[in-house]
Amino acid sequence: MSGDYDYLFKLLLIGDSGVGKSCLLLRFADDTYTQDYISTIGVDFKIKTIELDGKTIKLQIWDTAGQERFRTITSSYYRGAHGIIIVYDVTDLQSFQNVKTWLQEIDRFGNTGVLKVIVGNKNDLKDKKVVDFETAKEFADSLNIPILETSALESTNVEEAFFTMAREIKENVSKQQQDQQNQGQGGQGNENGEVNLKNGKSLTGSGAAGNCC
Amino acid sequence: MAGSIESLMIINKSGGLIYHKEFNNDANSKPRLSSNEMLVFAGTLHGAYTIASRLKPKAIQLKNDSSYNINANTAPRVPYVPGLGVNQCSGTTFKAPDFFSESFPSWNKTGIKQIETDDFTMYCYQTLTGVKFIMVTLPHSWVNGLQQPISVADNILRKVYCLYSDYVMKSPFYSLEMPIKNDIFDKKLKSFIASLQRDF
Repeated sequence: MSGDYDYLFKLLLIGDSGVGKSCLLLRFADDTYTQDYISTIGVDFKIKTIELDGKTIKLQIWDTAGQERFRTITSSYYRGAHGIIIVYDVTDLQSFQNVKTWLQEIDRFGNTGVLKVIVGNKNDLKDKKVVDFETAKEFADSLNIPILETSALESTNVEEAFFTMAREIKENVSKQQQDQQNQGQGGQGNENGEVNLKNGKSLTGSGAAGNCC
Repeated sequence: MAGSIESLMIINKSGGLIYHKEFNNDANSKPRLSSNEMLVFAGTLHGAYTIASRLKPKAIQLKNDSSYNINANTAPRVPYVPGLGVNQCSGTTFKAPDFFSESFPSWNKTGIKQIETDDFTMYCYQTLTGVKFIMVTLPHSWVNGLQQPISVADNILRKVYCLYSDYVMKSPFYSLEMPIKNDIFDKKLKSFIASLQRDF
């Protein structure tokens, strides 16, 4: 069988170049940290398996390149993402201002109703900090998006950022399933609440269509 | 020429691997790649596919893509290749008609259709809704004597798509875009592939 997992969620990390998306991911997936700066080319993947309510969930995290020249490719990765994490650097005002641009990108390319989280990274550099939490929180609250400050170096809040997302996604998926079922009951049935399954057409011919022998 | 099909994958529209099956590995041997590696592979392929579709020269894009051309009448068509599996299930009394018997539109106009290496050949069939069906075969055994291996591969993968439509999509317990865990689908697919491999 293909999977030893029940759910597969696609998470996307976006944000300006150099804000620490890859470091954040490295901390979350492998619990390591590197000082070296290697620019991501195109996209990079990490997969983390977590248990939530007795289900095995694989979070496939797509770590995109922040650099402008990869932008056209990056936008095609938004499709079907369950959650998008927008990262900015608390020591870089420009990267925070660009969060708005990234949100516009999500509106253009992402699924409607995709979950978003804003993350301010490099929170360990207290003396260089220029984006204070109040300002950021105000901005995030006005858009109804949760916000967290993290430090990939000191490993603070990193797990929380990803787990918050995973939990919300799972709730969303379960809710969708229920909605579908409810719709099926309400929409398809006749007035007695009966659903006619006999007129379904089978593509492969061996179903209920009666082609036996 | 039994066993030329090595493995089969289904990748959802967002690049997540939702199904993977290897056919020539016996159950006891270790899979060649771990499930995480397979997920990374699927994502990478999804990206390569997207990049490939952007490599198409702009002039052709402008000429053909007046409205991205999602139109069954104008899309290029794949010829129907008769007698692939299904019809020739011998040894049982079961003889279902072929799943379809006409040519069908190819939605994979600009992406990757085939990757050929010395060790394997990979075929990719994409549906209108963006689901990718991937088949990996041995390089030579398969192509010998076949005029259009891509058409044959498209026909086979479309039949897998039919099985997927019947047994996965119609399952009330399946949640969309998620990993496929479905015994009937497994069984049907296995017998379909087995019947194919007798044919070749």
